[in-house]
Amino acid sequence: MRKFIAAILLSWLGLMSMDTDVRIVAADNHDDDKRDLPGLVDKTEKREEFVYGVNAYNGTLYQGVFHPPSVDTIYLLADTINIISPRKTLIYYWAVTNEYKADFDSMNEDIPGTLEIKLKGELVLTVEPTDYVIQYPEGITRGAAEVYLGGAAQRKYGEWEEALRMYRLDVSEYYEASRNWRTDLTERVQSGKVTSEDDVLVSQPMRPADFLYSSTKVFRGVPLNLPPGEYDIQMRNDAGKIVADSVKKLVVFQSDRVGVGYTVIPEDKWTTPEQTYNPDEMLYVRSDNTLYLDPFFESEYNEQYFTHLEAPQAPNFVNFDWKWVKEENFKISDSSKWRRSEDADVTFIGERRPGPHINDEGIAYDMQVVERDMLQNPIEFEDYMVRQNPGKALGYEILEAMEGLSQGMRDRSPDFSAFQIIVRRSIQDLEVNLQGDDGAILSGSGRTVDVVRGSGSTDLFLALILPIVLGIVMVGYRRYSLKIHREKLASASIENS
Amino acid sequence: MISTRDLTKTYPEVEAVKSVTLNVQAGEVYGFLGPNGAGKSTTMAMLLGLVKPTSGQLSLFGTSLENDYFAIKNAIGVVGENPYFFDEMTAWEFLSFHADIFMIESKENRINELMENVGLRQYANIRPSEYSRGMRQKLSFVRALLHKPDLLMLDEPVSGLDPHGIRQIRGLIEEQKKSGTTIFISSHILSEIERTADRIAIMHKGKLLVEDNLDGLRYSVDQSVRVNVEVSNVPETLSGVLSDIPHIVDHNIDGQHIEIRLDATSDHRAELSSAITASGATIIGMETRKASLEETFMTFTDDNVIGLSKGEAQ
Amino acid sequence: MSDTSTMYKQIQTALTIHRRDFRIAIFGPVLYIVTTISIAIGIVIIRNYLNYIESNGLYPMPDLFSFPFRWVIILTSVYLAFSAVVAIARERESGAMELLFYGPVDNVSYVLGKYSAQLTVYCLLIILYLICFFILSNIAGVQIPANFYMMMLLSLFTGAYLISVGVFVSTMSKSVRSATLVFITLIASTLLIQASQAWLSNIAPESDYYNPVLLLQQLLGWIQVVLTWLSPFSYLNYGVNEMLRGNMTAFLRVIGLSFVFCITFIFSSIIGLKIRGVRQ
Repeated sequence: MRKFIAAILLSWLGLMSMDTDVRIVAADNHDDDKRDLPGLVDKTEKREEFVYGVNAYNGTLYQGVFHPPSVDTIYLLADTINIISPRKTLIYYWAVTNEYKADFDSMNEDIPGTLEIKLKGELVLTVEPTDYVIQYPEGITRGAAEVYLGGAAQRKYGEWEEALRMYRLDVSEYYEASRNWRTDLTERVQSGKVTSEDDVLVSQPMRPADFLYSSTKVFRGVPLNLPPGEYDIQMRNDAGKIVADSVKKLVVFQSDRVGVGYTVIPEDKWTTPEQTYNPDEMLYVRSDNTLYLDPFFESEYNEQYFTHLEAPQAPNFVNFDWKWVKEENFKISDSSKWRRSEDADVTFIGERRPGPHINDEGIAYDMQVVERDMLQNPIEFEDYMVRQNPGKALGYEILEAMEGLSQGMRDRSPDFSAFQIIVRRSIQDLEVNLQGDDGAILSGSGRTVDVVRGSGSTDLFLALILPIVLGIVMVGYRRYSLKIHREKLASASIENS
Repeated sequence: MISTRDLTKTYPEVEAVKSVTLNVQAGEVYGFLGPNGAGKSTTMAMLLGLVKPTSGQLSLFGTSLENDYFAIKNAIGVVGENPYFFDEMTAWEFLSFHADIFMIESKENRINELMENVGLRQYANIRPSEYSRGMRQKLSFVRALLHKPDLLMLDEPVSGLDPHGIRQIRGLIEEQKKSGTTIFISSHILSEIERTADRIAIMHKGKLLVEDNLDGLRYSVDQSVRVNVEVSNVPETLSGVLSDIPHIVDHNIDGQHIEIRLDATSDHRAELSSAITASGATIIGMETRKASLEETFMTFTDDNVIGLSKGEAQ
Repeated sequence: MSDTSTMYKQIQTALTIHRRDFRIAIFGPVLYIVTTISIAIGIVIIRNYLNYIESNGLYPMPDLFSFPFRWVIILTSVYLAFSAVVAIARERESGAMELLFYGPVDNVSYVLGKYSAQLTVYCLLIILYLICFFILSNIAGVQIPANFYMMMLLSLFTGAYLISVGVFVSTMSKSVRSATLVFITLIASTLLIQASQAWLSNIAPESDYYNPVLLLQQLLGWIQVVLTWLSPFSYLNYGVNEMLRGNMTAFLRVIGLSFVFCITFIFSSIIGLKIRGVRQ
C-alpha cells in the first residue's frame, strides 16, 4: 500500500514536471497585500537609463518593445529588417506586472553613435542610425508591413499624409452627397415616386472604403537585417567609447517550419472559432456538423525566443517547445464574384471583397478532399454571411454570400470567407489539403478530420473491465491454489491422525 | 578445501578480522567457534564472497572466487544463521526456484527426495512463513543440499531449536559427513561442535587463536588427565595424602567427590587408587574425564590465559 | 570457466530471478489496482475531451489519446520503478539478497534479473493499455492515429530508463527507507527545481548589477538544463512533442539517449551493488 500511495504521489509530480505550462504568468502576483490598483501603488522611483527600443518584426507586424538594462538578450527574426533604437529614458519598476516600464513621454533622448555587431568576438558590422517609417498600406491587420529608410522614409510618410488628406476629402464629399440624397429621397417619397426598395437603392451614395493605410511617424533608428546566429551588440558613441549598458547579446533566429493553419468556424458557434496550427493536428468534430476553414500562413519558432521577441522581460524558462505563429492570410485573388448587375441596375452597397479563390503569389488554391483514399470533389473558397434570426427568436443561419445577396442582404459585406466542409456521420478517414491550380498540394496544409461518433458517456468506463477481470483472475488463481493445497494438507493430517 | 592466509577485514571503526590463517581439509567437519563479535560471521562472509577482504589471501577448492565464481558457488551449500524465505512463495516454489538457480536436472525428484528425508513433503505447498522454526531450519538444509554440494557451510545450524530439532539437524550433518561432504560449522553451541567436529578453530576478538582437533586443543590447554573419584568416606588425611603424591597436579574434594588432575605423562591411576585406599577412604567409583570443549573454549577466550594461543601475543 | 560459459550462467541465473520476480508482480493485486486507476484517469481525461467536442462541435488537437496515455504511462512506470526500489532494498534489508548470493548469483545476473522482470511487466502493461485504448477508441468512435504507436514505442524506452533509475537507487541504498527517500527526493526535486526556477524568474532584480536572487536563478536554470537532459519525464514530453512535429531525428535521438542512459544506470547498478555489497 505504501508503494501504491507513493506511486500516485510521484506520478502526479512527474506529470507536473513534464507539463511545460508550469511557468508562472508574469502578471501573477500572489502577494495580495501589495496588489494595488493603478494610481494607488507606492510612488514609483524612476531613474535614467540607457535602453534599446526595438521595432521587432514578428512575422505579421512590427512590435514596439523596449529592453531595460535587466534584460541581457535581444531576440530578432532573421532575414528581415528590424529597427533598434538606442534611447535614454526614465524607467521604473511596475510591481503590478512585475516588469520595468519606460516613461518615454517624460524623457526620450536619442543616443548618437554607431551600433556595432560582433560575431564570436569579431566585429562584423557597424551600422549608423537612420530615419525610418513603418507602413501598412492594406491595413495593420491585413496586409504586409513595409519599412522605408532614409529619404524614402520621408517620402513615403509624405505619401501617407497625402492619402489621408484625400480620404478625408472623400469622406467629406460623401457626407455631403448623403445629405443631398436624403433630401432628394424625402422629396421623392413625399411625392409618391418611391414604390419599391429598388427605387431607394439605385442612387444612394457609396460610403468610401475605410482608410486602412497605416503609418508610423518618421523616427530614427538602426535597421538590422541579419542571418540567424548569436551576436553581441554595443553602442559606440561619437567619442569612441562604449555606451554604458549598451552591451547585449543578440539572438537572431528563424522559423523551423512553415505551414498553413486554419481558423475553423463551427456552424453552430461561428463567433468562437478554433485555430489549428500544427499540421499534424487532427480536427475532432461532432458528427452532422458543418465546418468552415479559413487558411493562413504560419511559421514555427522556438517558443522561448519568440516569447522574448514579443516580451523581452518575460521570465526565462528552460524547455524545448515550439510555437506556431500566424503570419499572414492568403491573398484574395482579384477575380471577383461580385458583379454590378447593370441590367438589373442593382448596386451592392458596402465593401466589395474580391474572391472566391485564395492565392499566394498568383497560384489559386482549392481544398482537396480525400475520403477513404478516394478523391472527392474539391471545395472552393467562398464568402459567407451570417443572418440572425429576426425578432425574438435566437439563432442564426450561415448563407453563402451570393445567396444572402439574393435574399436582400445587400447592405453589408460577407462576414467571413472559408472552405466549407460538411461532416456527415458516415465520413471516415477524411483528409483535406490545399491544392493549387497547378495541381500541387501546399505543404503543411493538410489536416485529418476525425468524426467523433460517441460522446463522453460512462460507457467509456467499460474499458476498465479488462484490467479488473485480469487482476481478479490472476490474484484469485494464486489464492485459490494456495487454499486448495492447505485444504489437502488439513485433510491429510486428519486422515493420519 | 578452504584455505586462508592473513585474511583481514577492517571497517572504519573496528578491525573485525585480523590476519586469520585457517585450513579446512576435504571431507572433514570443521568447527568454527567464537563468542559473539569474534569475527566468525565476517570470516564466513569473506569466504562466501559476500564481503571483500581488506587484505590477505583466500582460496576455495584451490582457487579464488574471482577465477571461478560460478563453479565454486555451485559446489557450496550454505545454511545461514537466519533462514530467510520469500514470503510469497510456497516451500516447493522456493526450492524449485533455487533448483533453477543451480540448474539442477530432474529437480522435482530431487526436491521430493530431500523433503521426504526431512519429513516436510506433505508441507511442500504451503508458505514457509507458516512453518515452525525447526521446519524452517530443515527447509534451509534442504535448500542447501539441493545441488549436492562438496562443501557445506553452516552458520548456527541448531540455534533456536528444541532438542528434537537439534537431533534431526545433527542427523543430517552426520549423514552428509558420511557421504564425504566437507562441513564448515560456525557456532557457539559447543556441545554440538564437540560431538561432530573433526577439527576446531577458535576466534576471539577478530583473531584465530587456535586451530586443532579436540584432543590437541585440550592438550594445549591442559596437559593433565582429570580423574573423578567417588568415595564412601573422606578421612581427614585424604587431602594431605593426595597433596603428597607428586603426579597429582591439583585436586578438589567436594563432599564425597574428588576431582583430581593427574600428570598425563603416564598412567598414575593405580598409584592414585592405592593412595586413596591407604588413607582410609573406600573408592566407590573412578572415572577418567577429558577437559570439555567448553572448558577449553573458556580457557582460550579468557584474557588471563591468552598466552596459551599459538605463540600469538595480544 | 570460460567467458562464454560465465555469460551463459549469468543469463540463466538472471532468467531464473526474472521469472520469480515476474510471478510475484503479476500475482499481486497492487499492479492491477495501479493499472485500473491509471486507465480510469485516462478515461476521465478522454471523457472531458469528448464532452467538449460534443458541446463545441470541434476540437483541434494532435491526438485525443496522447495526453491520457502519457498519464497512464507515467503512473505505471513510476510504480514499477518504485517497486524495483523497494524490492531490492527490502531483499538486502531482510537478508534475502544474501541468501541468493550464497548460490551462483552474481551482481550482473541479480541486477539484470530484477530489472528485466519489471521491464517485462511494463511491456505487457503497454500491450494491455493498447487493448484498453482500442476499446475506448471503439466506444468513443474516434480513430487511434499512427503517432499513438510511435508514442508507445517511445514510452517503452523512457519507462525502461525510469525503471533503471529505480534499480540504481536501490542498489546503492542501505535500507528500504533510505531508498524510498532518495527516489522520491529525486523525482520531487526535478519538479521543485523547475518550479523554483520559474518562480524566481518572476522576481525582478533590485539592482541591475548584483543580486543573490539572480545568482540563484542562474544556478537553478543550469541545474534545470541538466535535469532536462537527464529526466525521463522530460524525455517523454520532448520526444512526443518532436514526434508530433514530425521531427523523427529528434524522436529517434530521444529513444537512443533513453537507451544509453538506461544501459548506463544498469551498468552503474551492477558496479554499485559490488561496491555497496550484499549485506546491509
